[in-house]
Amino acid sequence: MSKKRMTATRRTVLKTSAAFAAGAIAAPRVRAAERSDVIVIGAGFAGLKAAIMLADEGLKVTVLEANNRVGGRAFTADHIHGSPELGANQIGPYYARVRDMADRLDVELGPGANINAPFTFAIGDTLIRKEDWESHSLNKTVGDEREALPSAMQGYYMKKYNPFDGLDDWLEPEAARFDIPLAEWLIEKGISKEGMRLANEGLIAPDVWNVSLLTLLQESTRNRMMSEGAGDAKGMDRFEMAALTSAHVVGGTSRLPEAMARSLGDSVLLNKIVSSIDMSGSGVDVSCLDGSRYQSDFVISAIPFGPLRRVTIFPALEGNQSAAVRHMPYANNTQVHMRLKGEPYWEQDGMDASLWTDGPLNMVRQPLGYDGSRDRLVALCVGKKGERLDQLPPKERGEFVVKEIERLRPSTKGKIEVTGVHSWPQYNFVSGCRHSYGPGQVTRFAHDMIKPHHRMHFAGEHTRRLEIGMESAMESGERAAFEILERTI
Amino acid sequence: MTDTLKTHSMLTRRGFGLGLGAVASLPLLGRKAFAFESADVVVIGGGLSGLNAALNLEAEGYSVIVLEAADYVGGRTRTFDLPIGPTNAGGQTIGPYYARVRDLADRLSVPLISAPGRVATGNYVNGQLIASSDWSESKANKTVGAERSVQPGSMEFHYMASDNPLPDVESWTDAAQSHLDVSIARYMLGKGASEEALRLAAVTMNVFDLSTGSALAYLRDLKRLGWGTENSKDENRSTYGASASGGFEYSEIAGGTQRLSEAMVGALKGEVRLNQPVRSVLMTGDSVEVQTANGDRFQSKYVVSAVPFSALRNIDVFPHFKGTQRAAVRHSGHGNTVRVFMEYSAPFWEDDIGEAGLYTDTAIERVFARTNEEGEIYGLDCWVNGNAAYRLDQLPTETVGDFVVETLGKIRPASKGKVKALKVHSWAKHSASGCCRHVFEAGQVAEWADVMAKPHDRLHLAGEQTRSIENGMEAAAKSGERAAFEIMELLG
Repeated sequence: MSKKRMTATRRTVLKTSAAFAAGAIAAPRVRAAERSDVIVIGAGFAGLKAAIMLADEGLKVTVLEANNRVGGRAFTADHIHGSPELGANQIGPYYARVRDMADRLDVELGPGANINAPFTFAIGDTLIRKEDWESHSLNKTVGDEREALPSAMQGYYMKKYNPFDGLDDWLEPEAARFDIPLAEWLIEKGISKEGMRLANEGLIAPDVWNVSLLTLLQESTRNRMMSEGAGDAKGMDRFEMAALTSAHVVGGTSRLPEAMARSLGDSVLLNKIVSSIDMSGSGVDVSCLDGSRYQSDFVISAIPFGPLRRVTIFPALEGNQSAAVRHMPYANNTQVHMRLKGEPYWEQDGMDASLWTDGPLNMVRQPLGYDGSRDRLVALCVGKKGERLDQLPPKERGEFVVKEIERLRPSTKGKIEVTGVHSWPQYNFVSGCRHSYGPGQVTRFAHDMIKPHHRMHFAGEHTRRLEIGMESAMESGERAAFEILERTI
Repeated sequence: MTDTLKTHSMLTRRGFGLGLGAVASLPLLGRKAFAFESADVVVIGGGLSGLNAALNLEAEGYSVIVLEAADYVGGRTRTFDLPIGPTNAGGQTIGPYYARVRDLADRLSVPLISAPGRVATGNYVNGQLIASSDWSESKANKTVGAERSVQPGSMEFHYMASDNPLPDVESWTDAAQSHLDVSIARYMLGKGASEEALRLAAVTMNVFDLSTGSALAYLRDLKRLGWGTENSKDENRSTYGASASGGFEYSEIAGGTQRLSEAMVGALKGEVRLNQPVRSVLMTGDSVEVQTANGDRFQSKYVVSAVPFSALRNIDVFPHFKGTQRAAVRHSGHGNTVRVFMEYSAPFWEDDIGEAGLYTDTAIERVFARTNEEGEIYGLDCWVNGNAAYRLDQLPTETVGDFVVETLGKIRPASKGKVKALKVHSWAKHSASGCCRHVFEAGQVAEWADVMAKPHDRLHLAGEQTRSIENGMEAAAKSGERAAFEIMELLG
């Protein structure tokens, strides 16, 4: 291996000096390109994990990050009161790679993650207690599904009818029959009209008709395995259970990718927006928007397909892989963060503090601080509701949300101050909060889209095989690193 | 005109108040208790297509309400009033055969001026600044054979316009032509283009990229453009957006294209409601209920969608679109253009290659020099389209102007300190439209062209993406007329 790299280095030197000479006559813009063994595009969990593994094996790695921070969709908003987590934050009990990485880098984990105050349910403008739901007159669901809380309707059917045992069942050829709209399957399983409406509320996907059942079954299977052994789960939905059995990064999730980047030294470059990947020569030539160029033997794309669409790739991707990059849908998620003042509104109206609604907001969570504090709220809109909220200027989003919360719960009046607004689809260099296969797309994309293309390899949570969440990003970075190590040794 | 708009914004304010009231009291009173505003037809979108639909319907005595999401009318014919004068960010050139647009301008007394001639354009390719006259012999010219004498900015015409295989514009949807519904890259390679020619053509072509854009749809557009310039053998004539006037009449609207839409609003009896993004269209039995984001409701017999599919897909439509039409609305591709308008303090181009315009293979793509009727250059216009525009959109908007000026300074040192950005506009990022135009990807003409304009229940579809043979503004105007005629026939 070292022999091979030395050759590569000599070749680099020759090429570089030639480029430099030409640059001197032509224009100041043509500069010598920097050379490494592997360029990793994207400094989220996937890219950093791949880079660390490759560096461990002695390869020279350059990580190009478009943003001015590392972490991607792990983002602790230290600029907002209470430092809320805008993205990834739950480290599940079986997140072996994440836990191992934290351990290796001395990043402290604490018990529990993303814990909320319990939910009150707003149907129209009527507030309903969790325990009153099953027999409430506004519960228009039918039969057994009546017992499922509005927020848990989709999970209820998933849990009851999930046909999978193994974590990779979703990738088997016979799973193709489940690559259908979630709605179609729910109808087959006897969901009522009202059940369907509720299942659509808060779904982290465009809607029940435009998400593949198969991708949800993958998550559900992984989640089920994680919650096994979590004790008596009665009365808890999967979110509550996940919160209790998970861990969090002390001081914020961002601290973990930051530690990962630090361990890579000066090979992580920020503000590097890649514009093209040229593999028409004997190696890889990566150009950035600012005119800088980087050369390598291999490249890993560890960014979502949304930003990858913005990159010109030579030779171009083809077939299903090209279609996947261009058309993979992403789920959206827009949040308004707030601070509470005055008397506890939940004591005044005697209802649980968090709120699930079927109105223009999906939910208003009250996060319970790890220090026991209860002075924050976060409103969450997904799907079309998120898209509509995104149509308002950021400033008006906060006003809109506060007005709606005050309407539903008058005891909050005058007590809410907006501290921050975040929209994942509008945030730069990501496409949304997560990938979201449409019906038929798992079959068409899942295998082909991760195949190496010339000298380019693919990582990122969308290329997951067995895992979910942060762990799936780590899993993907590990796979891409192994692929390259196999080619270099 | 100003008065009309003032009236409208007052109406909008009233509308807004009403809307809030509705939201607040809805739960108590129920939906039925509220009086809907009603008209025969609600038109969604106050661009050229929507306004032309409204004018046509009113001319036959039907009442119309136009709902516009933005705070101005005109959609993608937007004019900014900048220190260098009124500047068009979208639709600009009125082609010789734009019958409807010319007729509208005439009827509404909106004066036209001749489109200014083209300004000499140099090149910055493969790291070198090259005058157009030096291009064919330049070392930076890595094209092959006959391509070498073609200016980079005209490469698309060299391969797509000359020897266009379509017998006429109408034939683009014929089954016999569907073999052309392949990627532009594949079509050009078939014509013998080199990889370098492809790379250079990708800069000017207004599609996402050459490996996805449909050759057939592009050939259609160029065939239509050819109606005006068929006899011109000049391969180096202008590309999109910069017009040539070789014996045919190319015009622009005096004071900016948006003046036409404003005049159309002035001629309407009904109202155009600004700041009214539509949330849902509910069609039940014999009526339509349209609800906007702030809760206002409108009732009509029919509804026209005169917005691009990139905006329509954010509206809940009941009953849902079905089958291939649903796929077209959800998934059709959209082009993007980022424009950066700049002023200059000295004619720096006289200090290097002498040509004020510049084609580049860099992130800023092209810089046009804009001239007035006297032929004087009054400003510079950086024009980035396709994937490169989406790429620029990744930068914070407030930094894009400086980025363009800095990049220009690097590739053209004479411009350093002499250029200042005045305005940045991205059609994908800064407009309710969400795009600068609809783009067919390879294979989609065969799949979708037939269904994109088909009425769905009581919803009729207008907008440039539904065009058949027209281009640009004329396509929009015609689509509105067609949708209006469809509805008139149904209303009797």
